[in-house]
Amino acid sequence: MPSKSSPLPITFAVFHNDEPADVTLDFADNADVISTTRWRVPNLDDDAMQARAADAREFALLAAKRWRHYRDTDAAALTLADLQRMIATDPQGEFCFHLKVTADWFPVSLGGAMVRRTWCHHLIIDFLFVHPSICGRTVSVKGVGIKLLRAICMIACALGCKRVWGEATRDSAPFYEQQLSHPVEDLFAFDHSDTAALASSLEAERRFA
Amino acid sequence: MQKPLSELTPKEKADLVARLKLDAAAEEHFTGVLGNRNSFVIARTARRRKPAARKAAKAKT
Repeated sequence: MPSKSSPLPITFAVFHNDEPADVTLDFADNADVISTTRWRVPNLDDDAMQARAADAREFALLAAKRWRHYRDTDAAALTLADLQRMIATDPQGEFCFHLKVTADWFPVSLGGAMVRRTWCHHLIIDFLFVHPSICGRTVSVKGVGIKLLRAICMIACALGCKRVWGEATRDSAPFYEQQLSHPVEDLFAFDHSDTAALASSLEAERRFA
Repeated sequence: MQKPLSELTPKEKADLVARLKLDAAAEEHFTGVLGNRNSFVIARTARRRKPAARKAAKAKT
């Protein structure tokens, strides 16, 4: 397994009110994950936006539920070094980690993801979500979701994982198709060349060493 | 790039904004969540049933 210096935390810019604003992406700890369970869904006039915001909260809750399982079975990694140690100790073990995106201009995390490292040394994206207020567009922030995806690819490259995969739904398949430039059904997979390209695009946006 | 946003030159800021616009376009189909709440791999904890309350034994007459 390649052992590079940790690519996280990473600071990059996203759009906030159509202006660049710095955010930081890093591994989440227990308090970070549990804090997402206190997210609230804003009241919106637009039913579609309301449903999106509710989905974000539900996905955060489901991710936290899975987190508790891995945490309580000592299979949750809090840092990349942690994850590398766990894999070295048990190469075919299944481990979990969460990512968070934070900024000093937003009171809670802007989004997160729950990812599993499988016994085959692949990464699976179980849940990825942005804050309900961003989903529902009561706060204008753009770029958090795509950067989370790229960060997962960056971790895959750091670990030497040859694939990042997951389940695509009717709603998310068009997004994956856009990233992969080919049709996606109910399974998507980013192979090594895809993950390397997405990882390097995020590395190029690193604003502070 | 290793300086605060407020210290970017107009050219640097314009380049950054152009890249962020590309990212925003790449998120065009992103609804805010990825994953499947119904996925079978997302094992759900079985709901615990309360044990049925034992009936009080009737005194035999």
